[in-house]
Amino acid sequence: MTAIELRDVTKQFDNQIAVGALSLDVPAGSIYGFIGPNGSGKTTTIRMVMDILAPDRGSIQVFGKPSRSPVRDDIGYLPEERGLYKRMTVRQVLRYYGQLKGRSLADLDRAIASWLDRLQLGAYVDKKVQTLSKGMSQKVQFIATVIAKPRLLILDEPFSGLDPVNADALRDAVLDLRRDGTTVVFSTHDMATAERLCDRLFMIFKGRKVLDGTLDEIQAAHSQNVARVRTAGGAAILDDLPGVARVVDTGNAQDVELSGDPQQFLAALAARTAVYQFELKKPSLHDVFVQIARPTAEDLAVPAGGGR
Amino acid sequence: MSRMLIVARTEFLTLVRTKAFIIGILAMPVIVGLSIVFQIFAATHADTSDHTLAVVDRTGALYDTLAAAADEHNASGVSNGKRTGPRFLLTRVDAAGRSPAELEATLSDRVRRRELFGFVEIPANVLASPAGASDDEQLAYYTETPSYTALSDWIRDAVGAAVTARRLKAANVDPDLVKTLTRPTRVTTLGLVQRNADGTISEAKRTDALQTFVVPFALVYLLFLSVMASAPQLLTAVIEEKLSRISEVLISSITPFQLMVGKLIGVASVSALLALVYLVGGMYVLASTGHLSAIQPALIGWFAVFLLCAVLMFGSVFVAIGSACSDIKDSQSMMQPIMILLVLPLIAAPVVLRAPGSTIAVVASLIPTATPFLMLLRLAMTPPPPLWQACLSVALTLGTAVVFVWAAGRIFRVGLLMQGKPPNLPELLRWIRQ
Repeated sequence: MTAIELRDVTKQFDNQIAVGALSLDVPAGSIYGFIGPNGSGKTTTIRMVMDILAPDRGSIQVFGKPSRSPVRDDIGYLPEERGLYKRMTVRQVLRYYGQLKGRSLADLDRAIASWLDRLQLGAYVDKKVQTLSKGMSQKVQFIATVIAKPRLLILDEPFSGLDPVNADALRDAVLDLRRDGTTVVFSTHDMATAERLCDRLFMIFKGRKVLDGTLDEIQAAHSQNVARVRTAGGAAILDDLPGVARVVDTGNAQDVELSGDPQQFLAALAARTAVYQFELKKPSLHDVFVQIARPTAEDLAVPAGGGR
Repeated sequence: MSRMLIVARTEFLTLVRTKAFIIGILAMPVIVGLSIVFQIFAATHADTSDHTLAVVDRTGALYDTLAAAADEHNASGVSNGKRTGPRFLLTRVDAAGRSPAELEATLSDRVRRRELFGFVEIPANVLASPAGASDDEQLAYYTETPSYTALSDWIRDAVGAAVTARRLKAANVDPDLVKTLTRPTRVTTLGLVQRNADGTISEAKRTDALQTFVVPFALVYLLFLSVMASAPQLLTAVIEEKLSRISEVLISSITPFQLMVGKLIGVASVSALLALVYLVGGMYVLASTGHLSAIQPALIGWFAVFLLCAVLMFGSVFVAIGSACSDIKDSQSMMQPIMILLVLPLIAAPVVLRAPGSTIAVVASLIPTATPFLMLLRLAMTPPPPLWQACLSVALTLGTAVVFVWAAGRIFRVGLLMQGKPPNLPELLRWIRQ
């Protein structure tokens, strides 16, 4: 089943296309990484999914229905900028958010107790939010997002600013939710976390989809056919070997840009010398991101009349 | 419970649970009480000092009368053995053989040295009875503290009384007889006589300053206070929610319009609670002093209607400003015209109070933003305005409130997601039309 389905969605602000002809399928029960540089259209897309903004064109469905109430009661959203009502107690905030999602107080009180215990906040249930530390507030906000048991969670940089212990606790909670069937859309700039956590990744750039697939698919599509080799012969042995386009000597090992099939290259290399290491280098998500989003000379040019 | 009511309840509890609200509710009667006590105290105890006045009596005949009048004044300023007013001590100055300029200079120096508070020169011809008054008859009162008028007023009256008595005597007229014959005629202001159903006629009642002035003004100020205590808080609350992105989370659960109306219901309830506390307190005071009839039950109904209208109108404007701005500083400049709109009716209130049926009062009380205050004022007075005017004003105000709420809803919907520079008026209008 598909949790989110976007078909040809376009949104413009003042004649500027924020999201252009975007189509996307987020499978239910997956953790879907949402990446892209600032201002690329991520937030606009998320807001359209939550029915905060209406698309100019195209259709959006959440769990097979148009993303209107009551479907959006199934969505929990954690924005990047954190904020809670400072003068309310933790219990009051969590009850308020839960009730606005249509949950009963009895259900909520059980869920509040269980979540606070899980994230070691049980003692703070009747403390005002303004007395909590930043990390605690962040955990309370996470609980506020999941308290109404949404089927779809949209988390924008959920771990930023957290110490490693708290970040791990939240990551475990996210994984548990996924195990229980919750779909998680995870928007982040932290490529390492995205690589570790996400089943599928989607990248939006200048309002357009530029990546969509599993990490392996993305790496394969952006592979530059580079092999890292460590041999008895060292760099010299590679000099006149067929299928070698370029060699970067890193000391003990060499990164070889291949012009042909890696298997044939490996066979030729093994025939010539003892091979201690042979690894086809995959580009990291970070590399792919930078490769796509690196500013071009055109981006960096000062508009005419704009300089001082 | 409807989500709008969940928002309303949360908004209400958040405002009411604050210490500021509880202190504010208690502080108001305390401040009013203290200011009354202070005024009474100031009126009776502020000035109990001695003021020495040198008298240059060029008539040579008035000083003793003035000294006796001063003794009488000083004796009247003592209650239960305690002084409640200033004491005027007169000292005679012998002007014989001294030039007026020299004498005035010497006395002025004594005032500067604080030996005297001031001095007065009574011209010799003050006792003459010329056909017309001339400047030569004027007393000259010299002081370093011209703002203190109690002494100059007293000496003017005392010399005036002494001179009049002497002039009457000189004309062979008995001063006591003159006093009796020129006593003022008193006026009693009454309401109208009622013809009852059984044909009898009930007596007209004396008008009551409490009912005529105090109750109407108190109700208008209570309305103003109730609106001011809650509606502007919407602005800061909305800005806070917007900056912390709480609003973005909220409108993923509830539509912006529901959220805004929920907030308006919340603050209207806070205003109603505040007004109720003071109304009940005020009626208790009126009842315990036997003046409960000064407030008509229908007036409470009108008050409730106008309170609702005012909160909806001004509250929705504050919501719209809050959602359009990204920080409190930006909102201040947009707030100013609204605060002027709120205060203007209070400034116009005395005009309406003096002539409630005048064209200006009728027109002003039909302007929707002023109606809640000025029509309420007119309704609290006698005679009340014609019912059609009251109904028309409610219809106009309710209509305006609905338009304001609708327009604020449009601005709120767009503004909540906007960051950065606040919009100008054309942009706001575009948001409304979008």
